[in-house]
Amino acid sequence: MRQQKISLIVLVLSTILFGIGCGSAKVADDSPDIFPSSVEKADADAAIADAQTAYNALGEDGSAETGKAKEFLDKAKEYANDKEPEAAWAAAIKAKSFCALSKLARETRSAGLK
Amino acid sequence: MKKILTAIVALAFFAPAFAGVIKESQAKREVDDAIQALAAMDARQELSTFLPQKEAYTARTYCNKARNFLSDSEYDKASFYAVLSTNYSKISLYKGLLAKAEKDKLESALAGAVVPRLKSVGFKRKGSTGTFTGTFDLKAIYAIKRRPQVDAIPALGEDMVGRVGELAGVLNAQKEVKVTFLAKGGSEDHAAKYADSIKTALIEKGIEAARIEVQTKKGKDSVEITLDNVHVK
Repeated sequence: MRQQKISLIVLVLSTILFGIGCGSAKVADDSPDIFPSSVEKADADAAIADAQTAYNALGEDGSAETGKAKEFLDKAKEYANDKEPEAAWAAAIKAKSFCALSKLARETRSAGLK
Repeated sequence: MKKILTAIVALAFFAPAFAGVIKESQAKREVDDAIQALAAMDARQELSTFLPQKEAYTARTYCNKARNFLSDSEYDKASFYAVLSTNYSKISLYKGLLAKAEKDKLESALAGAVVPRLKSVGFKRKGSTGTFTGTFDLKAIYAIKRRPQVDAIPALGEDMVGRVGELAGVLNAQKEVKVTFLAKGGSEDHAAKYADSIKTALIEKGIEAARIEVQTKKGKDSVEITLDNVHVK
């Protein structure tokens, strides 16, 4: 019985460690050209700063695209606070992409194009 | 005990699938959006030549990556590429629309400038119609005063080359304009040679020979060029 308990504890511990390992492993990612295999806090902070600059340049215009940019920028900051640099970086890049889209959407709409 | 162990082993096996911040349902939705955005971009046939190659290509490759990551249960990456692909598809469409609008604007400006362009090269408009006529004598065509031998027709003069260039610009922009030459000369052979000099120069500038109708007759050496159906708005 005692031996069984020890085995169970060892198994639980190894499972937890395996799960943590899989969640944070910096496995080499060869296919994507921009999603990096490893994101450090500094990378995430730089991406958030870039997205913030793009968003500030845009200004709030009430469009869906700008709304999305703000949503992802806020998420990026949340993830950064939660010490999840990879998620923060990805959200910041998405925010930046929505800023670019919003800028073009505004230009296209003001020209009356569909 | 055995059941607990089985559950733990199963959890350890499937744990990687649940790692990350994006849920499967969200990733699926975003990949579907990316596929739809790509289809919407491809459906705009009228913009196909105006779509920016780089963005359109990126939209396509990112959509494929998103689908692959979704299949591999890597939802964070699937979501990442799906959102970017959707945005790139829309960016391509917007850029395509803006590029087409710019081209339309330039074409309309060009059409608006047709009257002064034609007038500057010796054409007169018939009332407020789309018909323009210009008569060019030997001095205007070849920069010569005397009728040349029929087998020694010189090359077009510098001024006429400029006129032909301007005329070709209008004709290339307005494919529906019909061109008629009424060439006159001491003989019909002369008249035909005069008309042929100008016609050849226009063909070299990209004007189809079939658009130019030539009539020849005896008379004072000259070529009268008539343009019908010129769009002047």
